[in-house]
Amino acid sequence: MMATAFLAFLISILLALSGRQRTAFGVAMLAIGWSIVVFGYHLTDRLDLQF
Amino acid sequence: MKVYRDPWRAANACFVLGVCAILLGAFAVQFGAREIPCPLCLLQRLALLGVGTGALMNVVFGVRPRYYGVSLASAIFGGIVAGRQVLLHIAPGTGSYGSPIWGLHLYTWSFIAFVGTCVILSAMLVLDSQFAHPLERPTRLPTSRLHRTAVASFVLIAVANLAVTLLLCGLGPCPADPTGYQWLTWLDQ
Repeated sequence: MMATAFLAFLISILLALSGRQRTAFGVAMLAIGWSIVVFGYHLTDRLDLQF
Repeated sequence: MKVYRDPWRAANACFVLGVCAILLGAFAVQFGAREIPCPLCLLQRLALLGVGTGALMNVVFGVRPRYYGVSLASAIFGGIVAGRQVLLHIAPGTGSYGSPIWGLHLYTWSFIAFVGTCVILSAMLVLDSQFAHPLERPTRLPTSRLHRTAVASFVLIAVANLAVTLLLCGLGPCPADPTGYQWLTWLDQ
């Protein structure tokens, strides 16, 4: 799960180096969003909430 | 061949190198002091990668507010994660994670770094003369040694962080209190 967020940033970097401006920017924003999701998962996992 | 020179892109390249230095420092603690990073530590490294990615895009594509925005969003996220880790251990008796360096733990230094990054990025966005001539933005990758060093270093650091995270956590969630490298343990079986 955490590794996929690192992979997303790496893909964004490689897209930027290949010249794809908009795609690289979009993937970077997605990577930030996914990082927030991963953070949220770890928060709720630690709190041991029951829904 | 005319080489395009832009002091703002050079400044962003220096910023990328600064991010690389911080991430290298994290590796030094991990492998030198043998202190395995926790999930919050990895999230802070992720946020640093995000900060560096925005600056890298400024180097590659020319400075634009949206790329500063990528760095700023990542820095805010990193500050929140680092702040949470500081607050987890701020009360006496709650313990700490990792050894202090120059009197402060890494997550405290990380929080200071992210707040400082937000201040720097805010200042860069105020200096809007750098956005004044978009038509002069080059369409090819920069060729100066500084830019190439910054780009190559950042790519290597990103790959290394991905590899280390895979070794630590595999493809699933990271353990809250890591004691070893999950994928290396799997290889030992």
